[in-house]
Amino acid sequence: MASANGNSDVELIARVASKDRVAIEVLYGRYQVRLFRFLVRLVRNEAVAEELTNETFLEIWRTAGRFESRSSPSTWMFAIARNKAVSLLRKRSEAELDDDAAMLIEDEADTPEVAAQKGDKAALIRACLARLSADHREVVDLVYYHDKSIKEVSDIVGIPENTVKTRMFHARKKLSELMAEAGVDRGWP
Amino acid sequence: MSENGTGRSAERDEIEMLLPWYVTGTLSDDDRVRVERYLADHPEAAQQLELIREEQDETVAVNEALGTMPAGALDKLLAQIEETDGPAIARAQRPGLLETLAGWLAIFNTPVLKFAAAAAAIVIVAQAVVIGSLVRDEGPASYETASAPTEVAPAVGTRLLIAFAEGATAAQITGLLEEIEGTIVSGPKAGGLFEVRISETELTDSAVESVVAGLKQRTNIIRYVAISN
Repeated sequence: MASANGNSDVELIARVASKDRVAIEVLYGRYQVRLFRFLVRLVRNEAVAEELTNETFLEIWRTAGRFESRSSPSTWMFAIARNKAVSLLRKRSEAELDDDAAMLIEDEADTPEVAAQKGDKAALIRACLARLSADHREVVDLVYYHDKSIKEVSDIVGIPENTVKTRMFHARKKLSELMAEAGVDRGWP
Repeated sequence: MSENGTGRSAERDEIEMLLPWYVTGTLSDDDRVRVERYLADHPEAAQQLELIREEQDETVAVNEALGTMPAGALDKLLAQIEETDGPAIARAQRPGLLETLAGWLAIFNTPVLKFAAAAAAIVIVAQAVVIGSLVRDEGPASYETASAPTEVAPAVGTRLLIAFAEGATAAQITGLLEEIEGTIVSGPKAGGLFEVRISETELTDSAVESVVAGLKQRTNIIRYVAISN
């Protein structure tokens, strides 16, 4: 839907396609935090995520003319960011990423067991979230933090919608299992 | 009703798979109706919703604890764009209001004025004009005129005091306000401060501090930010 000031995401992408630099600035302001955090969680390294965020916006700048409204601009941009991360992770081993001089992301200070002993349920959930597989964590982040629908996750990750549903389901089951191992029974599944 | 290998009904599994999206409000209408019908028939399943909300709260907390792009990252991007495409060229179409106002700001920031005694005040006034045009349409809460901002909203929700950097353009300010879903509710006050509401509810201290910490890094747009009491 067109906005009064030409600033809807679709309009901004169209303006970027015509090489409007103000539009890329607005788009950057609107999405840099979300894309950066999405990338940090994928590559687990802030400096690398910064580079990838920058590369993502450069690609948006270069390829905005090819954007087709089959998906939302947000989904399209997340997919670009994800592809950047996947390409990099294929090229570089996790050890190499960890060796970067940049700050390594610490997922959680406490182990699930320590959090459980402290009786801190929120910390326990966070500790268990940090121990999910990369595939599970990605879907959980996209659904719970980035508010993506089943179709949007499917488009971003490049997997069928049914796989999105089962992956999220298994991620949640795994979370409950990890919590149970730490001594907290959630009563599900 | 079919049973799967664990003795749970296939329907229950299917519905449980949809619940995370039901909680985040991103289900299709058909699936939402299906879930609501199931929950009405199986009130015990509502317990799942509480577990999902817990998971969501902590996922949000983990992500919100992450930083933001460093100050200067946008400049780096624009420099790379310039390197690729050459300097920005004047566009043929008539510039819009925001671009025009951004242009005014650029004029006010020429070196001559930059060193004039009144430069800061002029920039603040210019930004007030720009910002007046950026205030979201919130019915009675919006400004009546761009040039005469007034107190427009009751002091509810979570608010910050923000002074924008002298060189901040209208586009940058717009982008930032949209990014933090902020609404300017009053200003400019002494020192060029604007009161910006970032939530209609009272956010937790840690959530607000996280937002403030992120904003403090945006030195190209913001020169001062603090929690408004």
